[in-house]
Amino acid sequence: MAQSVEVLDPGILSTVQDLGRRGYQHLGFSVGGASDPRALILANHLVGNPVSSAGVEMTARGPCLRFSEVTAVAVVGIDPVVLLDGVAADSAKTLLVGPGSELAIPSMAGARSYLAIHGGIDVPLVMGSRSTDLLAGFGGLDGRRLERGDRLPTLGGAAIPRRRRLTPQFELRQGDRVRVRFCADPRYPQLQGALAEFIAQGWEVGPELDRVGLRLVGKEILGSRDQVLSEGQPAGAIQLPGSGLPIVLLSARHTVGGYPKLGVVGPMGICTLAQATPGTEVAFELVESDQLATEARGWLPALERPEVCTARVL
Amino acid sequence: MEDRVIRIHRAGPCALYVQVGEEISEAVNDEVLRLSSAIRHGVGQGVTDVVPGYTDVYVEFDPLVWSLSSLQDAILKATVRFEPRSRPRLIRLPVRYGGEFGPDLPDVASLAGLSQQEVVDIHTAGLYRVYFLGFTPGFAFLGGMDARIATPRLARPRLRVPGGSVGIGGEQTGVYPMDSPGGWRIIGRTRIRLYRAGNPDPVLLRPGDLVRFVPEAGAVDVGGA
Repeated sequence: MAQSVEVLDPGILSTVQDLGRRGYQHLGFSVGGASDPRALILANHLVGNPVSSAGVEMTARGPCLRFSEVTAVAVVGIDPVVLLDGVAADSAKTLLVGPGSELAIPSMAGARSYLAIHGGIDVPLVMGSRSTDLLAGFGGLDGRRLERGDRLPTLGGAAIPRRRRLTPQFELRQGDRVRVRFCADPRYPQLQGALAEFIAQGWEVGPELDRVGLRLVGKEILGSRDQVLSEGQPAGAIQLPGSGLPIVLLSARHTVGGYPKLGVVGPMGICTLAQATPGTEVAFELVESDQLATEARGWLPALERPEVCTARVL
Repeated sequence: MEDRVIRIHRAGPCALYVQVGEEISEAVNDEVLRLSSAIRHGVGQGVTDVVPGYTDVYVEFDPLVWSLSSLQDAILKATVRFEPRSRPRLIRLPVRYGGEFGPDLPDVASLAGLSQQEVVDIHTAGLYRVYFLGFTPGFAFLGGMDARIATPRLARPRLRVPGGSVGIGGEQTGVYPMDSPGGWRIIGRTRIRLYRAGNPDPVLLRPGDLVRFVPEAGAVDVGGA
């Protein structure tokens, strides 16, 4: 029988996400997908899914779900509290659930956690992705967040995988202070002064958790900041709007923007920032772009190697 | 064809810009659109997105397939022989100006020192070029508006502008493809849908298209000016 997962309580902001929608930015469609793709990939790994399977991105407080059939699930984030039928269970580990099981994620230390369900969530592919685009109102569950009473269809089928736990090096941890690496945007020599001001101070993550971008709070940057012509924007772009307070773009960014860029954060830094809760201190470290290119080549294969998970019967 | 020097700049580890010019012009944007199509069709695998802007092409790539220098070479090779751009399409958008559909038409008229009918006449006389799409699905950055009807954006953006609304923001005009917040002054509304999620062809307008706004017969409400 097909698994159906009933949403008993949706949590604060829970959406269906995969690794995003590529190839349509020239028509105005945001890439979207998991804000912290690393955590979703690891969760998919633990339940034997391909990395591109759709899961649930949960923000601050996750949902409470009831399962109709036996399956495997995993929750990955920064110390999410996981309750299986009211009893504390581990995150970063394959969990077996049965008919009637209730899974709740009442809190987490990071900003977002990811739930993967064996087989992946079976909402329709829209332009190659199952990700929810909240602003344009499509993808995922009718383009919206989970609501009470929703049922999440899953692509079941293959045998339930062996239970696994992430090796400690892949368990996500971060403190109240994080450090992220970025490279400068070479096209804006007039931003040299602004760049120096940006690096010299520690920044604090602003109060909103927004999939579009992470707002930083600190001493306003006074250096030159003319508007520039609208153009495409990479994830991790550090924009400098007129307020002098930078914004780091995340996966659900608009396709084009007209603020000058101080630089671009690398893929691991994006994952770190996507987990940073309001008030977290962030220091930005300027590195050569070649270093970030190496990081960009390395991080995904490292997550895809099966040995990231210690396969063992628990 | 006039030779232009293109410059390629890295935009972080997985993206780059192909810079064609510095100023907004149809000639520069023609080149941008030709380059976009050459890169899209000529480089192919490992290039995930090709996004034209006013003066540059933004390219996202898979760093496991391309290094910056190998992609740079491939782009230069692909763009040696530009594909001829197809003839621009002319898209006519019927618009109901003023009244409930264009609540800011009176303000635009008074700020411009014109009557509402004159604003409508000037707006419908223009032939607008789609430079590129972006921001939201199907939103077209149009060029070619008559400076006489340029009007500053609203000091306080609306939380919800209905999809199809036709607005003026500074020296730009455009159509909101879907309900969204917005700070442009709304002068009318079209019933033509610019965006349908899930359609094989999800957006109506394409870069390079020409757009003409046509007043919908009998629907112009400029009373009380």
